[in-house]
Amino acid sequence: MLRIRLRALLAEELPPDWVAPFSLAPDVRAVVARVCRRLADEGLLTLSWPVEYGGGGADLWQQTVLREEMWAHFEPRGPQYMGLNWVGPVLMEVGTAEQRARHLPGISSGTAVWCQGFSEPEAGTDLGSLKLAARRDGEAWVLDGQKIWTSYAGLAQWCFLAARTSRTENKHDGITIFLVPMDSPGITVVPIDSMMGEQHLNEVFFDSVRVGDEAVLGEVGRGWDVMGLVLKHERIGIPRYARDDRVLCELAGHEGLDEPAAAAEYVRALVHTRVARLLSYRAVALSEAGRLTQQVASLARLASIQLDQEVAELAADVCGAEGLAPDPGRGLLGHVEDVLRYSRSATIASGTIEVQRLVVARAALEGADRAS
Amino acid sequence: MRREWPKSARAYAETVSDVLGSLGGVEAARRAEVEPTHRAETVRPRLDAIGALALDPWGDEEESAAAALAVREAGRVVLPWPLVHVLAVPPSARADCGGVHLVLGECTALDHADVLPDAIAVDLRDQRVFSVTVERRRQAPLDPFGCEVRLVDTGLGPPVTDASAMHLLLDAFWVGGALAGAADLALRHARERRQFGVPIGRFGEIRWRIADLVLARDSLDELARYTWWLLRVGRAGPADLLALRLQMLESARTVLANAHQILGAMGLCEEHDLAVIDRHLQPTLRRPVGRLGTTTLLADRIRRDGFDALFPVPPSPIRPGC
Ligand SMILES: Cc1cc2nc3c(=O)[nH]c(=O)nc-3n(C[C@H](O)[C@H](O)[C@H](O)COP(=O)(O)OP(=O)(O)OC[C@H]3O[C@@H](n4cnc5c(N)ncnc54)[C@H](O)[C@@H]3O)c2cc1C
Repeated sequence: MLRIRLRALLAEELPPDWVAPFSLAPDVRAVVARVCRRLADEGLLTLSWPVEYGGGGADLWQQTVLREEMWAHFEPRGPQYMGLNWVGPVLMEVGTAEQRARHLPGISSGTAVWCQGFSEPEAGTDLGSLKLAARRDGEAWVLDGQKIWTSYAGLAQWCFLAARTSRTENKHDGITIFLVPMDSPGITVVPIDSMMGEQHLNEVFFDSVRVGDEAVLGEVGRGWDVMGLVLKHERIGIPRYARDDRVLCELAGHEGLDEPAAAAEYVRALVHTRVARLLSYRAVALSEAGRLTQQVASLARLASIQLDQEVAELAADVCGAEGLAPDPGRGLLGHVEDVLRYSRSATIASGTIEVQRLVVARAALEGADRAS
Repeated sequence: MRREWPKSARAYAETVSDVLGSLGGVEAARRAEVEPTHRAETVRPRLDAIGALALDPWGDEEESAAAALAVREAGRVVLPWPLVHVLAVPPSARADCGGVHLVLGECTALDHADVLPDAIAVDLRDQRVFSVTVERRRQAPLDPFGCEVRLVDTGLGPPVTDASAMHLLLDAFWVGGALAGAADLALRHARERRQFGVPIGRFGEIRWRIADLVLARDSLDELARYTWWLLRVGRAGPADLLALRLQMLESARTVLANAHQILGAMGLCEEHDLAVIDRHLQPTLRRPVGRLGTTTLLADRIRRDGFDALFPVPPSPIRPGC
């Protein structure tokens, strides 16, 4: 069974207290590289990709198991998951033959790191108002402007960049996607110190960065549609419940649960974890049947992101003041402080909880929410 | 696990829904409250006529699903007949036992006990079985069909281990139906009621409530469906059923509170179905035990049996004596 195979592989490859893949530290980079190589050798890195692109052609359920196990084990593929989960698949859908030939091998071998350049200082939830300009200059495009919150920008070789190629009345028109080498002259990455740790957030400045037509993904001016494809691949969201499940399992037997109030919260969290998993499975099942709706996906996310914060709070509470500092000798429970810090972003990253709620409510009001 | 309910079960649920519609929907509950004989004289025969009282929830997949969905339809209108109590009796025991009540420790009142001949009560904690004798009806706004009862320990009775599990499962479908009904009322109101010149569904605060309400409703639906499947494949332990009850109680709290808030004063009126659904649902939410007590029972169970998950919790996670 895939899950058992993945767990055995990860048990062999990961250090016992592995929690933080997003780092420039050489030992961390070495673990990520080793895990990616091993997964690639066993055909597991591109398990979800179609066979024609050298993938395993796995069905959605196998892909779900892979994502669950990777997330539960603190994403040992590091930033590679983005390339595998959506950059590659979007390239397959809208990339030219040259673009596919150039980029897919690096992604499928787990060697190329990508970052996503969407958010800007003035364009957060209102992504359509992004301003970073791409101007035509002879045969080239010239990029000027700033991105922000760009995860792994300091590690990445490539940026999946959304830029404005024209100003139109409808702000969603006039956006174009560029595949930009991060070592291009004029790109400056400035890490942002954040409570989640290094590499999670960066600013990326573009100062007269020149790229050719080969960097344009999809049609000029149709970038919003391409961003829609990205969201389609990320719609169900990260299977956060899998890591929460693992945290709860590790907490079992902790003396902090002797307190009846803690025991009560603990069993509630177990039930909520099961429910979050089932709501995600509903989304997977409907996706498989070609009937996934926006609200079913958002409901799965709503359950999952709230669960992340519930479990992190509970774990931190149960571990008490002892848990405030990392303790590598105590396995996962020695890292509840990391779990708590990271959980703060669950309701913000890739679409805030408010937006998820609005999506659900709008669909419910339109009477479209009982499609399942 | 297959998510789709069998077609025949969905068709049967529609039949049930039509029959309940012909009884006036929630109106039947209102009427039975002032006229208790309405239950046995009108409601019961209608259910009998469509075979709803003879359904076997342990039967083949189609029949089992039909039973679950029929209960859901009945819950949607808080039908004034204890369908769950009846269907939770294994068919082989139905000749001797008209219904099963769940209790926990001492119990002095049960709902609908006056219409269930030869009913028994099963203690959720130790599975002890009691005979039920009705002393008198005890009507209250939140216990519209309550009866004062005397329970006598009968030692071993009919095969009831299965009965309490099935009761817990079917209660979740009943409540799931009622919450779906309440959610529909709230959504309709949010679309139709206008204040400041716009439908109140335009306000962010109302949308926030709607999202939480829909999430709570669907959370229960998904867990009920999953637990139904676990029970069918013989893998539903007591912890799974108590987990379902806990989710049921949390979902009810969220859906009812948000639905009331969206409806404003209107939802509090007896004329409005929400008030009736809320009141009539309370006995199922409090008997045999509410949210806090269910949490304690579940904690005890998980301590003993563990809990199945992607990373299963082993038995004894919460240390004994606490
Ligand atoms: C850990 C992390 C990693 C990230 N990685 C990346 C990345 O790699 N690439 C990238 O491009 N971006 C990334 N982001 C950015 C992320 O996509 C944005 O944070 C997110 O879209 C929200 O934008 P904002 O932070 O500017 O908040 P804002 O949009 O300013 O929102 C602030 C608050 O206002 C609320 N709000 C805004 N609009 C509405 C509305 N219409 N109705 C109701 N409430 C509203 C929001 O919900 C929120 O509560 C990352 C963020 C985090 C936290």
